[in-house]
Amino acid sequence: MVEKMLARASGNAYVKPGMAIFIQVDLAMSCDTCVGPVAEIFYENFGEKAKLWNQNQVVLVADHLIHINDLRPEPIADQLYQDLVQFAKEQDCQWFDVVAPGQAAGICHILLPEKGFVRPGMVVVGTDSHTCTFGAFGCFGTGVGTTEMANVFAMGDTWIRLPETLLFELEGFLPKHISAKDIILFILGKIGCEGGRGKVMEFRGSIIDQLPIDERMTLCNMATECGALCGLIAPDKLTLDYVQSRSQEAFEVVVSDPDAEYEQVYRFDLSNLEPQVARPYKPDQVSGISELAEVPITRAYIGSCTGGKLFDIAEAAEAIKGYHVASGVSLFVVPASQEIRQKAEELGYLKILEEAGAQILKSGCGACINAGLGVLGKEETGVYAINRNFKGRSGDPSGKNYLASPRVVAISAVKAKITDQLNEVDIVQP
Amino acid sequence: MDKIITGKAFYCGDFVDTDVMSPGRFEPLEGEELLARIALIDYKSDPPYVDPKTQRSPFTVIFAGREFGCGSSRDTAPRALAYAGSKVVIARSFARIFFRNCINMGLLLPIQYEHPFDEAIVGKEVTVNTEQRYFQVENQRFEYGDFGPLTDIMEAGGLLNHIKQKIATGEIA
Repeated sequence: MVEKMLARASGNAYVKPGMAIFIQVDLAMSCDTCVGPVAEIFYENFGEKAKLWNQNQVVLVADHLIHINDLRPEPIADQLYQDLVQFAKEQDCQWFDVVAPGQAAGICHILLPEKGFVRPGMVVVGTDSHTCTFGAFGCFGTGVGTTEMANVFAMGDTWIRLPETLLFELEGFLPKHISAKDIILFILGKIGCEGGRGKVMEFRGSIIDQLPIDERMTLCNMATECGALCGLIAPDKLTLDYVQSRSQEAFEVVVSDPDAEYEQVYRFDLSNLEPQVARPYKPDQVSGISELAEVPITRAYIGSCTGGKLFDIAEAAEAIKGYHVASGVSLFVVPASQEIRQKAEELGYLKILEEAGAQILKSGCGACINAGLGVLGKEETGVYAINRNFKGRSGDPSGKNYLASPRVVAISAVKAKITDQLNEVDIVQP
Repeated sequence: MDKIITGKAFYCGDFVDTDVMSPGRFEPLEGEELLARIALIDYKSDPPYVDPKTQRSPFTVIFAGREFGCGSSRDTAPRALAYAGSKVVIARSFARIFFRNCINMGLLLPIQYEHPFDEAIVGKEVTVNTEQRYFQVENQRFEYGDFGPLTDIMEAGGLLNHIKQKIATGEIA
């Protein structure tokens, strides 16, 4: 699948893994932490009057440091935001401003598909490692640094060493309450953080067919945690319905040939999968929840490009409806975009969560990148529905961060320990 | 790229991530001084990577384990190491984006080598010969492979210099 996409993008009839090629980019995305530095490199190298190779193929999103001031005063964050605004206006490209002070329109990886920018067959690069999320729509999405993005802005292309592909055939029927977060944590536990290094992870099988778009995004989103360039899922009717409801642009569906060769094929029957939890300080330190020793917590967080989608919020709300967050525990919920916030409001999910004692925060990257409320304090332990639990990533380096699904995070907040079990006695009496 | 690089060695273990190299709590990560000072600040070692007195690192060559630079695509991580004073990282393996950032920025030479070293190498004198592609520790010499098609980018001093050279020679418009 990836070979076909990148052959087309490089203008070659045929490419094979290991080849270093320049590929044309269909969409370049950058955010407030990076646009300023990218712009500086861009103008410095291509001249102060330099123009984007194609202003219609660049999208900028103010999402990363947008509510850092809720946590600590950061004048440089304000400057970086101004840099984004200035560059967007100078270049007359597409951009998503904050909708209110400290309130992002959405997290880039969620916002771009919502707004119809991401379509099957595209090559998308972004100055964020979770750009691999877009593979859920059958396109090649991957993260790049600021220097590389400056080149993309000017030339519209970048180099790549053509990756091998690992195939993950996920079969069976997913047990009730088991989510894509559990699946990708399970895979991380099996192959480790370097199991996909420099490769593409292609997912297929009856489990994939059962997953809604939000869940497919979660799966592809954490391919980077396995070291992969991209997660990929072949488009099906669900994908096409989603994309066509949000974009009128033409696109070309690319799928693997029946006789496609893979570097390795992993087959997992997930019919008996239990909730998975990653222990500090790596996302591959995974065990089934039943094997986890008792872990008391004081923080719980549902948000980020991994855990702030509508499906995630629905799972959390349904899990703790009628219950209340334990005293001494803070539960934070961060809808990943304004569209998600609005739908979660309309469907009553936010009300359920607020009544349970959760704090609903402004949209943006926030605590996941140590830039908003919900970060771990000194020596604090938390369970987060985000993508990484490296030391110091989401708060004080002495804190301990466990990763789990939104449902497990919500239930753990009620029980003040990591668990997926609630009993009747925990229900709040009206 | 310098033909000969000489200096003291530092050692990092496996899976040293970019959040350890340039932690998010220092966001926004702007400016050479700040980046040099916080480089590898969350990697606990004795001696520390950055000398608290000089706010720079005395270590020119970093030896590392597997998947060095995993995590975020932030290129403040290789920048921090370079601004602190390092010129080369010799790792058993690199995270993909970190490796690309090193190549593209031309600030830090990433050599992948299944080396036998551990903490005992810290402080030892290392010579890296980029022309003949070997590095030497004490009397031991280790030869590393070439960078294939990436050599042109590296010899130009990074991706943007490479592209500008091509524009100047008319190879690309």
